[in-house]
Amino acid sequence: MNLESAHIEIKALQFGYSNHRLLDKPLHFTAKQGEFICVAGKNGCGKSTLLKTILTLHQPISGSVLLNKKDIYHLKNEERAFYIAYADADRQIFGNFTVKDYLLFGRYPYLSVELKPTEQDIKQIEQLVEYFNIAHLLQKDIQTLSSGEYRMLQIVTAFVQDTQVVILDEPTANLDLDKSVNVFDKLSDLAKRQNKLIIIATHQINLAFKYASKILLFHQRNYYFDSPSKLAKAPVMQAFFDNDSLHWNAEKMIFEW
Amino acid sequence: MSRRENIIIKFLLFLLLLSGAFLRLITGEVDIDFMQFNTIFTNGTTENLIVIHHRLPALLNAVFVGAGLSLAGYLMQVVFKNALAGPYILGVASGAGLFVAVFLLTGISCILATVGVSFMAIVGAMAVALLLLLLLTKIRQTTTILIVGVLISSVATAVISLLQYFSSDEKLKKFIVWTMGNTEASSLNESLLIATITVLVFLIIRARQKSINLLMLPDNKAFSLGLNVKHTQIISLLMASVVTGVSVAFCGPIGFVGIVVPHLSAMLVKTRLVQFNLFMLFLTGANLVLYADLLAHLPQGTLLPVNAILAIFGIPVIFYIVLRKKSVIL
Repeated sequence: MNLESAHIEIKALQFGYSNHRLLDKPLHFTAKQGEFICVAGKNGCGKSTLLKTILTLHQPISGSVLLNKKDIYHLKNEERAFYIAYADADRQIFGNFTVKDYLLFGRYPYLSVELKPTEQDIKQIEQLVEYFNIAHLLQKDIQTLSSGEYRMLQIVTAFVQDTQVVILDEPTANLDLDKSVNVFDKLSDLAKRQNKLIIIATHQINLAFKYASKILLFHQRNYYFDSPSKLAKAPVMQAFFDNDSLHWNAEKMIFEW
Repeated sequence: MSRRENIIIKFLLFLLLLSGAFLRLITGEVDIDFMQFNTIFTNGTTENLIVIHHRLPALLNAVFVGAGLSLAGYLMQVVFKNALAGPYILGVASGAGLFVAVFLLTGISCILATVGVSFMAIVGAMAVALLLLLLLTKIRQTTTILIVGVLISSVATAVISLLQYFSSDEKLKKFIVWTMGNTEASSLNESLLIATITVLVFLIIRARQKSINLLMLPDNKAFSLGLNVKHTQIISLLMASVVTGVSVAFCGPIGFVGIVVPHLSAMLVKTRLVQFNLFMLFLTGANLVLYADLLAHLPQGTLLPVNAILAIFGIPVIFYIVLRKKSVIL
């Protein structure tokens, strides 16, 4: 599925719920392969809704989302699955699967009705299991995974889909600090090395500034889209938390307390 | 379970089904001389009437109603992601039952005699299925839908008992016999209709096994893997309600099969995935109803209600499901 360099273009997008727009002015930005984009902002600011709008799970109020210059809403579901993978925290799964069996779902867009994985499918899964260090989970029943382990499984399954664009909704919620750092590190590595466009929503602002290539920040119904080093100097960062004990260190690009 | 064990179990279940089928054809109140094939296949002879127009339809009913309700139950459990879903709990069968009751207990039957019981039952089943689908788009909590299903069942039962109260003895008896579950009340053509519909549903599930497996994932995940979630849910529920409708129409409300067999099958193959369950559902469901039916015929001269026998088998399994929360089946 590797065509020309994939990119997503958000054009004059207003998103949210029918009578509740999440931003005052429409959203514009372009993201292309090789970038690791973190969408940050406080609870309820619309991070997840934006991700769902890009995935076409959620109808935009106005404006458009273009994937490689084509309106993403014109793509068939089966077609889109070759371009964009997605993961969130939802655990409403029916039945028991081992982690190994579950990972194969990531290959479903490529499988015929016989559902027999090819050697390439198996290899793809094995490589990612090794890369993300989850080999010890393979025989576990997914219903018995901790929420952190489940997050890891979701991240890996999304990459198993082998798409140019990967969208993850809060991939590091419920993860230990060391694992969160590890995930950010790997995501930024995968974006560069495998030339993927990775877009995540996150609350880990410090980590986002360290690893992201671009940050999309939502604050008080406005948005800011820039590289971490430029955004770090913007006044919005000082005003981001209205908490006196938290202050923004523009040099180190972290919140300190 | 290894691939070999899996094949052996399926083979044994198939043999069991064949012997049950054979038993069902050769036993009964009248002894038939099976050496005389010609008389059995000659129209109009007593042997022909008993074997081809009485025992064969009953056999087909048992096998295909058993298999069909199992497939229906499986589909409903997957659509609602709930191990307790089934044609009866969701009220789909009660919807069919209500329409049949209206048909059998009131004067409407004269007017609608040409469309028949089966049509009424399918309409009833579909009506409830569509209502549930509508709710599924509004309510994400599947437990709520289950509760609605139980409420629909109760309403249907209430209306049925009112109809019973006001109907004549003769009609009432006909209806009560119907509610007991009976494989012997339909004609050969009607049995063939049940068989055809069950086989069709089986084939459609086979052709769509990829989509149906994806329904077991969280909706957003399934969507991102290319599934048209609503579309697949609708098709699955419609298939389930057509099968439920015809089986309720011709054999009465055969309970427990739809909810119990998917769990038995999943326990045997140790997964919920369609490709491993499809044949197992068919074989387990068919065997269960066929042998319940054979048991029902065991006492000489009378016929036990198939439903009672199935309940005696079925309820322990439901207990088992409820008590073993972290098991293969939930």
